[in-house]
Amino acid sequence: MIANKDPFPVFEVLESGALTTIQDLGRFGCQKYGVPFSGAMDDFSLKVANLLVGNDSNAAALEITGLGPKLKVLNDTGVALSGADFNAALDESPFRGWRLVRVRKGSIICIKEARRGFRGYLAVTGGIEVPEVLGSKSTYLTGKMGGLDGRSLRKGDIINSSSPEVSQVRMPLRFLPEEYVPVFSSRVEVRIIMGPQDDCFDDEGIKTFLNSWYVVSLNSDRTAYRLTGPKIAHRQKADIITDAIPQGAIQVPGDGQPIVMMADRPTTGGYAKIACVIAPDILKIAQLKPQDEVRFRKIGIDEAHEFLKDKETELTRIRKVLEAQATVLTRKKYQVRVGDEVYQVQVEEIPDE
Amino acid sequence: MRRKFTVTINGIAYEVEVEELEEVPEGIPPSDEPSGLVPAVSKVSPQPPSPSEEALEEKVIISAPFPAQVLSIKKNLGDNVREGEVLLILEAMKMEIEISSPRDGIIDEILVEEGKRVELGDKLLTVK
Repeated sequence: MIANKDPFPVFEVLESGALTTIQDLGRFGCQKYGVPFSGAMDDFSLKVANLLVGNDSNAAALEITGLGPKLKVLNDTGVALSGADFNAALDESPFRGWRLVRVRKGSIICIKEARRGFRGYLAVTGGIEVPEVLGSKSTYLTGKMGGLDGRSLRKGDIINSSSPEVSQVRMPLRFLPEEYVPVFSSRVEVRIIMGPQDDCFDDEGIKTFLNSWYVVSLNSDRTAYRLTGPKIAHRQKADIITDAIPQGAIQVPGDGQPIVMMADRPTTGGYAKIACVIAPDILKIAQLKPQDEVRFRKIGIDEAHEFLKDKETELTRIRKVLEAQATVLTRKKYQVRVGDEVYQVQVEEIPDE
Repeated sequence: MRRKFTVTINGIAYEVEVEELEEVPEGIPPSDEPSGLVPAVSKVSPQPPSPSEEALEEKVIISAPFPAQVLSIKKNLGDNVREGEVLLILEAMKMEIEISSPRDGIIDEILVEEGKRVELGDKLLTVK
């Protein structure tokens, strides 16, 4: 595929959905200037959607929240939907996730409510084309920067891809095998490492934190997941000398209700951080909707590094699996009856070299 | 045109070359999945039955996609609405969620009030 700087319109937004934004993997290297990281809340799903359509894993895609958009396809292209399991249709047929789907000019993609999980990613061949701001295409809503004019999508918006028309001849079959598809739950256990200010809490407070289920509050968003549940007691006060907030940090203000800091979090904060969600488990939080429940399990930092390594290894394996699929154009199964004989027939088309 | 396939029959794989002998007629309806097979073996799916008068009389229930608060109700009982028109706005997670009509019709029932909290799947209103 040849890169093309001319805008190549792919979608017209007919309905925006609850909150649809353009996100890549985030704004690296700017937190020292006070600019939040932003980027996909569920980085794994964004990466896989991009790989399915043949993009670099960091390409910008649409992040869909809870209720998806209705889009008109403006040019033939390839798309992939990942993340939450959405009730979605492409014209009259079901639009299945975790696979490359060829869409034609004039078709309508209608993504309705999420059945499992909460956030989805719609990647398009070539990646979504918007100007980079401080090295990223991610939308930072509070700061009104990045993405499409720093805001979420609205009816009438035209979305461009940075790729010219995809060859209409044939595209390889590509899908994520079942064993790699994450299953999102509305009741999750999330692994954490303690600190850096766990010494601000007494034993009772730590025990409450580690042994209780917390409920996702209605006013959670891309900045933070606010949880409600048993009060976590501080030793003395909740305030610390302001310091940096990493992704997944769990702040506990004076009311004893934990707040998990997410993609659009401010870069610094002054509440004691009891613990931090490990990187590969951030997406479990990102896929929760209001009223869902979460519990925290303490692990050591060495273990956390191992889990991160496992997640990276998994992605490398997925990349290889998808590359291998590129050698098959279609795969179909038939049951064929000839006279009295029944044959199970699988037909795979192989591209011409 | 000659094309190559791997055909597995009862577990045994065969490398097969297929050559089309007749011209394929133009205008084969597009499918959402790339179809590499010639029409002779492709399944003809029956047309979906056209909606009958009775079906059009049926109510469509619009329910909450996730827990939220009803911010405002845009329509009154008996109002005519077009497909895609905004019926009510929910608020959750600092998002304002426009719920639009899935079809043309009349607002038949309004089952919520502004300011009320709704849970996942709660019925909001019906259109007939």
